[in-house]
Amino acid sequence: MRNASRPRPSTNVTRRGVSTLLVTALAASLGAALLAAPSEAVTKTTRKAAKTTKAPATTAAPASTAAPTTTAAPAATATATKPTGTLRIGTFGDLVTFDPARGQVLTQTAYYAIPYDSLLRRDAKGNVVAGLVTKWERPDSTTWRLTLRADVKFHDGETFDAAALKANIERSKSVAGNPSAGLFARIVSATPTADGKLDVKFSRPNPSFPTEMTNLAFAPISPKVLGGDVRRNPVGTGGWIFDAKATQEGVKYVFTANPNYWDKANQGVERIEVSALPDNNARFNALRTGQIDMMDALLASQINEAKSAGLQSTASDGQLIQFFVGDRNGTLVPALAKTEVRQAMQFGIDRASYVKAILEGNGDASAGLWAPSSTWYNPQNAQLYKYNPDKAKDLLRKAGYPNGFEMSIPSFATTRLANEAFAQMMGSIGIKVNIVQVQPGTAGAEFRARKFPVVYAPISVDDPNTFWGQWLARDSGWNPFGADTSVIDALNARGESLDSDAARKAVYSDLEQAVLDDGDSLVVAHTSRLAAYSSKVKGDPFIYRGDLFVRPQGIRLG
Amino acid sequence: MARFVAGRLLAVIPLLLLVSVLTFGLVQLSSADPALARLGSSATPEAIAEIHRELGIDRPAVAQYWSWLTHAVRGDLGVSWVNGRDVMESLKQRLPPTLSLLSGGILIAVLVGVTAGLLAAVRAGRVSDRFISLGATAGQAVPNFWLAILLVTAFAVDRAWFPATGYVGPTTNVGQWLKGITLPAISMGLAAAAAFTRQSRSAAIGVLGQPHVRTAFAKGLTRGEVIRRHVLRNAGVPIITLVGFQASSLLGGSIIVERVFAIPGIGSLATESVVQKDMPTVLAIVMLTALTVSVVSVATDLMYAWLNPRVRLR
Repeated sequence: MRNASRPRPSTNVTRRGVSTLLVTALAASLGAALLAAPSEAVTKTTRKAAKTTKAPATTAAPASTAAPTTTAAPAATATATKPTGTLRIGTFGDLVTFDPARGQVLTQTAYYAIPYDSLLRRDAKGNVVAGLVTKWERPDSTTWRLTLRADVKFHDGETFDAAALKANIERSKSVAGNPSAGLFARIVSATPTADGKLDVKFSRPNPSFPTEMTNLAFAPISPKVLGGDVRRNPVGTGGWIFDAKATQEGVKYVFTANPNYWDKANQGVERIEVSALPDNNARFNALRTGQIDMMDALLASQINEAKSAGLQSTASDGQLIQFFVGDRNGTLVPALAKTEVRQAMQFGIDRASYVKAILEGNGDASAGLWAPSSTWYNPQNAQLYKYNPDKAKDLLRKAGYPNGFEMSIPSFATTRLANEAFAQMMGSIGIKVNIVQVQPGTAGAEFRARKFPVVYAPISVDDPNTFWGQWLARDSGWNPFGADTSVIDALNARGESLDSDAARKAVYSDLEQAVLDDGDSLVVAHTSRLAAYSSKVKGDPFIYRGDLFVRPQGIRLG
Repeated sequence: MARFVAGRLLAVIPLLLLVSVLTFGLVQLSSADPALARLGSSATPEAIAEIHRELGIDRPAVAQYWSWLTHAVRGDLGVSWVNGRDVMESLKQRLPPTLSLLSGGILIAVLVGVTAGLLAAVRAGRVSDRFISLGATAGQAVPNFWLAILLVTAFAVDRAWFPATGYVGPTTNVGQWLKGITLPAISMGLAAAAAFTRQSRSAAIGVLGQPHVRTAFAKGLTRGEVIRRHVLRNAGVPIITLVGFQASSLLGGSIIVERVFAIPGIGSLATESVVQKDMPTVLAIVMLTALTVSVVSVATDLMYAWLNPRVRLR
């Protein structure tokens, strides 16, 4: 969690002045008849909130993935009390589907984290801890053996066991069009053992599996409903049960406490209501006026305003801001085939200015792949490719492009600023970047269809092996031009074969440097995903690294 | 009268057909992909193709349109391409908030606009007339989203007199419903009120100069009686025309206002659907809008006849 900066009183004074003028002018013209009595409840909530400004939560300590044989204490640490109150959440997007095998887990976190449980959890420091799985070990390099909790029931009374988890994994693998298919692609089989454990066999070593098990894509669903329609019927093991009758689809989704929940200590609220509030200002206004208790996707520019309104905020700094170079063969832009050219682009990025101007200070300028709080962070790599336009121009000259060259980048409204900054930075070293407008949300797809050589791609990945699998590997979706990745593949294979994070870190540092030297990922900064909540929300909510929003386990209402 | 209404309503059918073809064609031209709305930008080409197969959008456009049309005429508007929700159910759920805003906006526009227009007309040429005319010009220049943001800041965030977001139906709580739609309705209605002010002022000035009005004054009627019995009724025809126009215009304006106030109405549904290329939902919303505008147009004609006996409907 990054500390919020000081409030800006002048802004409030100005706004207050405008609003006072409006009150005078409009109240006179509209008449008292139109003005209903003030909402006492809302007024009280807002004023109470304004009095209780609290310091933001502290920065999460480095995370770690599991050792080959790991037994972690259960995530539950608090004392069990009767869940009370209604937690009202405002999220930026509507529910697409309750089926984690058919929906984007990242953007649906606010909905999935309530009726479902992930197999493993994270603590406030980012460490992977027990959840439905209490112990995870590697009997051999390609197998993970999972020990499951024995006291867990699905909402429909079915028992959660190895057979149920096997059915879930097999189903997730088989659903065509599963957005999380990459997480299941390397799983060869899931086999229950005689003593109730589950052996998950991979086609190659997967040291990232413990981290991956914190993802809600692995959330188990009752075997009874697996074959049916899960889209509107989330029968999981989570702390809250979906209340279809009280729900208004597209408006408000209601969940009530699961009376048979296995983790009573972290089931602090009796009822959860999730509202889709797409407009960022509307969502923020709803929080400020006490209509909701928590919101996601807080903007960096709203931190000060939130603080001055007595709200609190939390952040996960697991977001990597990068421009990804795909056309490393020079298929679309021949110049990009030269390593010196891609390195010149690295030197041409003014990261500090980008953080200040585009991220409004909410980020760490860095050339490295991993955030300072990550296990894999290497300060030397982060300092590689410091902004040096002269060196960039020199490299371009050596590569045979003294006058630069031209290329295009896909852009739409929400990525416009980032792309314009990139174009400006590249322009200063002689590379002309044409910004091409595409439909919102399709820049990645256009890049993957080999229509653009480079794409702005902010991502949340905190594991080198996962990053390699999704972005770097020869056959990954983000290598559409089939660029040669033999050096990186070899380093990753070495990392996969090692047993401990400490041993892997040295190899993955080499892998990181290889990626940077090859100019695959032009890293600009590491930034945070922000959420805000009112002072009545207790339990120090935090965002899982890689998630977009706070999960409700552990939250209480004061 | 019945023949007139039936004739006008029958004429709506080819209009709807034409609108549906145009809408379908325009949405087809968009390069947005509903599969990406579901799967995200990391989706593989195979996954995208699977979703296309599931939705039937791997078929030729004509086949897709024909399939939609044959179902739509039977009242089956299909399901959303993005979230699988029944489109008819979505419309039923989203229509009441939008109608509430629309009627509230029109009410405010007529009440404020006609009152100010008549006041300006009877005091034509004086300072108050100029002040009202200036206000009307300013009102027309103010974008409703900007007014909405100012209103929500002043009366919801800073003072908590009204809710900043959301909608409560009148069947749930009438008081909350009124409070919830007041600010959005004002945002939508004030710009329209400016148009009503100008229209009613000009119409009333025209009527006030008529011989029958002078006669009415000569008979000893008070100014209020003259305005109520003679001016308002005669000036009402152009005002009613404006109601028809403004209803359609406000329906468009509700898209922005619903977003600012996070009201789950047709406008916000339209925005989301267009961005995600959710064809069944877009088509349904456009059809509903076209139908509403047509019905308002027929209702306006009926109002003409009621207000002015010289108008005969055939």
